[in-house]
Amino acid sequence: MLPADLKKNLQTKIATVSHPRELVVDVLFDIQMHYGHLTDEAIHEAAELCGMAPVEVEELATFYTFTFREPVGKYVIHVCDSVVCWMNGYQTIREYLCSKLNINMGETTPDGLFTLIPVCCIGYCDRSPAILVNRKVHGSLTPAKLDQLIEKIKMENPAHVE
Amino acid sequence: MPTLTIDSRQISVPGNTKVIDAAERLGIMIPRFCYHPALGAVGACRVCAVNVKEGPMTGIQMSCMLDAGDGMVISTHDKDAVDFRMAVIEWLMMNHPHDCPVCDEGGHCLLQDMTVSGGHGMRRYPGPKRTHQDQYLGPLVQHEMNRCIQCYRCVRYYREYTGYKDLGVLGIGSRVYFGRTGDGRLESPFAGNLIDICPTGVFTDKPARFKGRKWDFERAATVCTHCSLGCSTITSSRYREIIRQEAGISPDTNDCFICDRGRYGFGYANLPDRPRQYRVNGNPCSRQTAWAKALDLLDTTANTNNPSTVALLVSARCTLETLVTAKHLCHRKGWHGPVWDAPSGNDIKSRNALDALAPELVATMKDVRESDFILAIGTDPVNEAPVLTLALRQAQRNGAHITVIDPRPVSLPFDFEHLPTSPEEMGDQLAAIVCAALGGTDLSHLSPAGKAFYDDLVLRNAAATVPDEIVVALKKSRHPVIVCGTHMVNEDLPVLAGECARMINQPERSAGLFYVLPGANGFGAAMFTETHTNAGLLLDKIKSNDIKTLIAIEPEGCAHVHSSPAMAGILKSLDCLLVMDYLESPLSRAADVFIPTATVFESGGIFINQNGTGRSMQPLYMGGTPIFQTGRTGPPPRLFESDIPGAEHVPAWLPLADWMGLSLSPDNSKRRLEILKYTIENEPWLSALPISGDTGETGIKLRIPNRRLNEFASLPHTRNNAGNSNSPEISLYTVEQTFGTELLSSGSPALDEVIPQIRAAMHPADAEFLNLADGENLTLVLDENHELPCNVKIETDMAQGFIFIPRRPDLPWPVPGFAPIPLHPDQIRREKGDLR
Repeated sequence: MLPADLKKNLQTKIATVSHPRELVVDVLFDIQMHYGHLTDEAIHEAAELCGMAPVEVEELATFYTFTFREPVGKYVIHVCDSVVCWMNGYQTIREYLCSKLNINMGETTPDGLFTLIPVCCIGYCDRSPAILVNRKVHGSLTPAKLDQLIEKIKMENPAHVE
Repeated sequence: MPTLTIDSRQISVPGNTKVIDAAERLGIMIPRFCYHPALGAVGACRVCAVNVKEGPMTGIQMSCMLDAGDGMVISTHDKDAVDFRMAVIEWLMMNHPHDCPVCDEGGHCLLQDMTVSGGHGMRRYPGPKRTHQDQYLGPLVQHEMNRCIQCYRCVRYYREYTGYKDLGVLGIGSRVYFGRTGDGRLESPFAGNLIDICPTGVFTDKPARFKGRKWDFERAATVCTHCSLGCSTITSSRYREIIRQEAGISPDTNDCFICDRGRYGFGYANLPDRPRQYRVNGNPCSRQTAWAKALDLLDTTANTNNPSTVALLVSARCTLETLVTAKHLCHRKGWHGPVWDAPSGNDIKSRNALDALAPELVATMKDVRESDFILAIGTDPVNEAPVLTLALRQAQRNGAHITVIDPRPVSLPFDFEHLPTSPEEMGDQLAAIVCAALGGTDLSHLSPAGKAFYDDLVLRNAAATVPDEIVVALKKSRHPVIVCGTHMVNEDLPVLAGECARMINQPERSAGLFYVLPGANGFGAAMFTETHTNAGLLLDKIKSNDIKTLIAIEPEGCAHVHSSPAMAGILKSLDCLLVMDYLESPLSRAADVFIPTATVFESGGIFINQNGTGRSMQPLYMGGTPIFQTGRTGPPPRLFESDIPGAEHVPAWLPLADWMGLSLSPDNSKRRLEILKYTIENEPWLSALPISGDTGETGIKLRIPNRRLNEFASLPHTRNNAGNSNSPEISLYTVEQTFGTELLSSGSPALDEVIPQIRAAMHPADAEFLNLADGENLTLVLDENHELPCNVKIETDMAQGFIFIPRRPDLPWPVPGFAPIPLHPDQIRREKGDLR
């Protein structure tokens, strides 16, 4: 069950448009914001709110890079996986991230802090290789820059244990 | 008519023909995966590439997306096109598991054919393949996602063509997955078509899994006998067992798809307890003994009693040959009948329907698909004639306005207007719609009878109000079709519906008329059975000793009278009971002489569908106890015999022809043609049927001489105003359900799991009055000897004052022919204790 105020907010939002299904992606993001990811129940709730079949919502939820059907870490790192980044050192930073966090692409660190996901071109080609950390872009990356970034996050979350 | 050149050969095709179809007309099969005639083109798989040498845009193009244009020059086999296709196939095969030896699709797999014909033989990509986890999709369809080549046919069929919404395409890129949100049975009763439509082995026939390859089977084109539509099917048998059915292609009826009842309903022919032996007084005996005993009994009755004490009972599952032979036998011997064993009143309604079926109005399923306004009255398509739903859906996709007038909670996989109406009021609503739509039309050309009919409509119009949109849609329509059922209607409604169709059929508007009849051969049964009698009256005559001998040939409802205690006594007053059937039933077990008959797969035969199209079926196999069953008891028999075990059955018409004194050849196939000749020659309106029995793929349209010669009928005003809403009584009706009520398919083990539990559908107001909640268990007390336990299902979208329960063949129904029963609230009890 969605919390009552979240449900009410969503219903108010949906009431403003003529076709509730227009807002399904927004609804999914709002629910994801609340839970951290989209549970099976969330899919059914969103379907009910938007008057769609659950599988229609599932199609969208599994299609997009920024909707998560599994629990993710507190910081989701999307590593740009497209041509210009490939040319400018994508492989190096991907391997560095994997070894530093000791996880593979698509995995979450045991402390629940980081998740690594590849993403297709994020349009930051002029400052490639690039990544997104919780949707915030970081470009012209080197292993040293990544170290800084990760250490900073770790400092900000000293006692993070999932 | 553009003329184009494909591979140096010219062809003229109608406008809007795609190049892929134009090539097919020349016999050139361009490879394809996503393209399907019923689904149209999307250009998703890229495998139908051709090289356009001359045309508005030259170069490699997808032939399924390209309209044939005048003067185009196209090559399907130049190097560019061939190389392109080969590359596409290689890429499609990249993740395919190459598991053909254990895949049921192997042997009739489009992917195998296209891979080989496309020239891709060696795998070059050495990397890991993506794999998926499969889902449980129910007992009928097996899922194996790894074999997928992402052609999207399944989802397009399931969501767009049929309108069901529980199968989708998940993920993105190489993770694309065709499935449901989770494990669970596919909700669509048309899900089996996924098996046919999938070009590879992602969806395969689950009950037929691992039972044989296409070339192992005896295969033949057949006609589905599980409702009155007469869809085309293709049946496969192996080792004396029917293994699987696929949809046949028939543009006038089912297009390319069938329902799961038709696909999996064949199990009755394989049942281990199917009666395969002759029996006298319940004891197995030889054919000669049974044959002699039957003749002896018939002779004795003929000598001691009046011939009119012998009655012949037939049903809509009999072939045309059997029905005609039965009719002539009765006439020749002076016997009573043949009596049509149909649910109460459906016989009269069907006859009325055929009376009103004017040749110029007859609509086929194709006409329904192409219609722009459909008024379905007294019918519940998904449950009574499932594939009709698909035809309605296609009309709806093309923008048709669809209205259903029926008291039942009709549910269809698309938007439509439902007017839940009691059978008494349906006629008034129909009249009101037609009357309002005709308002302002010049009706001066009408004959006096036509005018009288119109005046009658105006009178009825006053009794009902209907939504304006329906009237407006009918006014605008150019090809309206009236669909009329023959179960949940009053006796005069089929006539009224027919005359209304005639009334709206005007120069600028060609109307169609489409009846849904009971049973596969309801048309034939209505034509060849005695008109002034029915199964209920027959049972009364048995009770009053007017009938002493009953010959039941493949009966339907009456087969099960024994399961009802009140009816058990009736048969005891018979002197002699002869039963011919391929199903075991209380009636067959009580028979003095039992003759095992052949199923349609074994005997072949002609069936006339609800619009009068005669379709013949050749015998598929000889029959006999399946080897899987004979082999179960031990090693194979050491005695060598030329007989097939369990194949003693005869076509039902054979004993009848014998009693009539027809001399038929002992040879099976010759005999079949002889009885066909007899059938056609003795019924003048069947003369359009070919003596060879081959009606071709589309069947032969039979037109019965219209008995009223294009004149409007005068309808008695039978509206029954007695049932006022204050009456505490609730009418208990038995209704058809997609699964579990049709006699043949309800015995099919494959469908066991999909038959829902018995639930009593009722209106919320009635439930409130009776103080019942949804899902509550209750007992319906039908009379002092009959109780029916069931479960409450509250349906908002149905008429008030009714309870509907599925008409299961094994229901202990106390009145003949499942006639409706008025229930007093006292007769509706909670599981524990009384309601009040």
